[in-house]
Amino acid sequence: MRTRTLVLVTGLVLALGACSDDSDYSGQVGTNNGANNGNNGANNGGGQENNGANNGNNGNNGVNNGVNNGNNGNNGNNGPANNGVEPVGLPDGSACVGADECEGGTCLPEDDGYAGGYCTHLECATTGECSDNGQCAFLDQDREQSACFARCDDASPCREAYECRQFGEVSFCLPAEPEPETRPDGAPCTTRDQCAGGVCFTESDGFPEGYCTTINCSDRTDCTGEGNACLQAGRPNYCVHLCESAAECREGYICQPVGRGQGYCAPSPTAGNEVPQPGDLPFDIVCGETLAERDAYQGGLDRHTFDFSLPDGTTSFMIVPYSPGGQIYPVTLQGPNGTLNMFDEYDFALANAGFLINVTPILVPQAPQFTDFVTGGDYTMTMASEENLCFYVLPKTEPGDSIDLNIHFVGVRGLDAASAGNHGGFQAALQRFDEIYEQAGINIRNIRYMDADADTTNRFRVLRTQEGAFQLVARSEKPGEERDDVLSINVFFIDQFAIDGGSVLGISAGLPGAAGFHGGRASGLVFAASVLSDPTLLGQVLAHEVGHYVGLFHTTEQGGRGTDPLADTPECSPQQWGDPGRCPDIRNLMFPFAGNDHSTISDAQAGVVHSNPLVK
Amino acid sequence: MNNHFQRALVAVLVSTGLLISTVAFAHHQEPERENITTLLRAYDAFPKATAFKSVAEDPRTVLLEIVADDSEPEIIRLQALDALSLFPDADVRQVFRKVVAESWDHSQAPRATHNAINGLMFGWGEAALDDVLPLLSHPDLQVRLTVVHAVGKSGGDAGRTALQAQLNDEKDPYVREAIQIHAKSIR
Repeated sequence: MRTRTLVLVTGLVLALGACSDDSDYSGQVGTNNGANNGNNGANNGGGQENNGANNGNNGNNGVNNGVNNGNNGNNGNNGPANNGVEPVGLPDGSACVGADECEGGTCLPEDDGYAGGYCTHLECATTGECSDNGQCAFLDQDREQSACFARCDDASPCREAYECRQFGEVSFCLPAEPEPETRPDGAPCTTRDQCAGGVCFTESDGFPEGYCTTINCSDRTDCTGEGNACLQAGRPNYCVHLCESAAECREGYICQPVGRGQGYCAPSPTAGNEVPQPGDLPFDIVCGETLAERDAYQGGLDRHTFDFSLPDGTTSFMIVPYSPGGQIYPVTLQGPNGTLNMFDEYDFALANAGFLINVTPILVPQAPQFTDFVTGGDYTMTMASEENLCFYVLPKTEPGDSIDLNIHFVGVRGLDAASAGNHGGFQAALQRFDEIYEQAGINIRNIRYMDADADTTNRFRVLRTQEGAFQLVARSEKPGEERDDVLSINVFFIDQFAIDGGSVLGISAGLPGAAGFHGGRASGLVFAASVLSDPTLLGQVLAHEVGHYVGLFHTTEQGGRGTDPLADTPECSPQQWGDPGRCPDIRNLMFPFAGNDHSTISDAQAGVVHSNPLVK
Repeated sequence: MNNHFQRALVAVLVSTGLLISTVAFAHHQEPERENITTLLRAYDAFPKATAFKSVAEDPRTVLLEIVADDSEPEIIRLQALDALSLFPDADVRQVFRKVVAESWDHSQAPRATHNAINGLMFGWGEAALDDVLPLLSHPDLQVRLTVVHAVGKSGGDAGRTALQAQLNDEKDPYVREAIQIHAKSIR
């Protein structure tokens, strides 16, 4: 018998290679009928002819067998009445509620897709063990489970909700295939039967709430639904829902550009990111539905308002609100001494929202003019967010004088965790870093060296996009369980940046980054070994990027387009940018261009650095 | 004044004039190279072409000098390669092609290879496919990844088609994944 497979709504796989081939069936059926007939009477135990007939047409075996076979038999008069025990229960394929109703002792339930129940013999070895109308078949590809299914033909049709489905030379009564749903490409789904295109990319495939699609498309005419097109993605092509902005996509999706002004709804890079839950970190994390008052705000986001308290003596703090995915940004922060408006005097706190997306650390004060805002007492934070939020607060009562670094080596040529301690150039760079921050009374205290795993190395040793930096730092893990451990800076040392249109010397994933938050988009900074040939410059780059990570802006942006919020750092006007070497702030650590003597830290900059909880 | 003295005086004056003009020219060049080098040291946002043009009359020439100068730190020469893609012309293309050709001498390609691949695709787009696509056979996985990324971004439909065809030959899972991410288009 040929083998075919069938996926039922129950997920059972009907593998009709069945229990044995036809010839075996005959012999075994003969034997089994003999055995069955032990229950059914002497007639069936009779001649071979009857047994042969039994195999062929479910009947012609005599009155009793005809009765036993129910509707499936051709009840002939081949022999005397059955002298054996009547089979008890309904034959295979009959409707049932409980197992005791069934001849075979099993009633397959409705919940498994058998409408009205389905009597059967489980674990049959041969068809002879089935009801006279039944045939033994495997339920799975591995042929480990078998059951009896009712045969059918035009003369013996199936009951309602069942259909007679042919497999090779036999047909069985099986649950009718559900009418396919008509969800278009791009719609949510859990199974393929829901999708007009016949394929469902599920959550486990990385598609939040599933994604109906049509695969192996050639162009949009192969796709289902309005506004969909064929994404030429290689193997296979598949249909996607087009968009012009994220507002046209479901939660957990972004509008991924594909050129020519087009985009399609694709899973958000932050979707499914693990975020700290209460108990994960050695400080209080607050999360949940009841966290905040919530009302409609703008741009499809809700306004979330929540409270926290700071102890007396607090001189600075960082609050880290975050969500599992989706855009969030700060709106206001109200305290005993006033309110900070993130769209006005504290607008630099919005810098993180644009690229960190789902986590927005806020450092207070991030400029000396806001020092008086900070005091012990009750505060109220207002955020805009699609989803419910979590947050934690890290207050400080004293400035601190040291930082801890976790340095991750990501495929750097000639340098790894084992050799870093003795690598002259690398140690010289760290020495230069210390010299720079000594101006602010800060030194490196602890350094952990670690090598990235092979997967991280293959993906990120050459960084080709800025977004790649956020994905890389999200691979960090907290280095320990104590507060001192988690308040450390992840530094990823890759081999080189290779960003088309122009590379960079370093990237800080956050301004400031999220202190204590490992494994997220704001969890570190990246710099490259392509600078290692100039260790002094390398130390400069590290110091500059750490400066961003702890809350410092460029003194002046390129072209003189913007300045930091600090009064004591010089500024370079747009007119002066024609000769950047003459910019008055060129010697400052946070000037946007590196130089071996660009290392000055102003008093206000030192104050910001000391505000950060990462400075202990 | 006899003719011999006059000729000598003229010679002195001419040579002095030449010296003055040479010194003036050198002084003009030094600030330009210094400013260009400053721009190449951008920490975290690469300058635009207009920024280079605002500090030098001919940034391309200065950048070519920097790339060829072995005394410059590697990072500055790499950044200069990136900047050259903002000023594409035949000489610049020749520099990139030379870097690409030299990469085959190494199983782990020099860092400049990545900058050259990006430079060719960023500067010339589809017209550079013949220069870049052969690198899909490079033994260095990272080179092939850079090719996929750059061609996917700037190679147009022809580039993406070529990348998708590469799936027939490419066995490395990272490159295959990159092709499926970057070689997308909509029809």
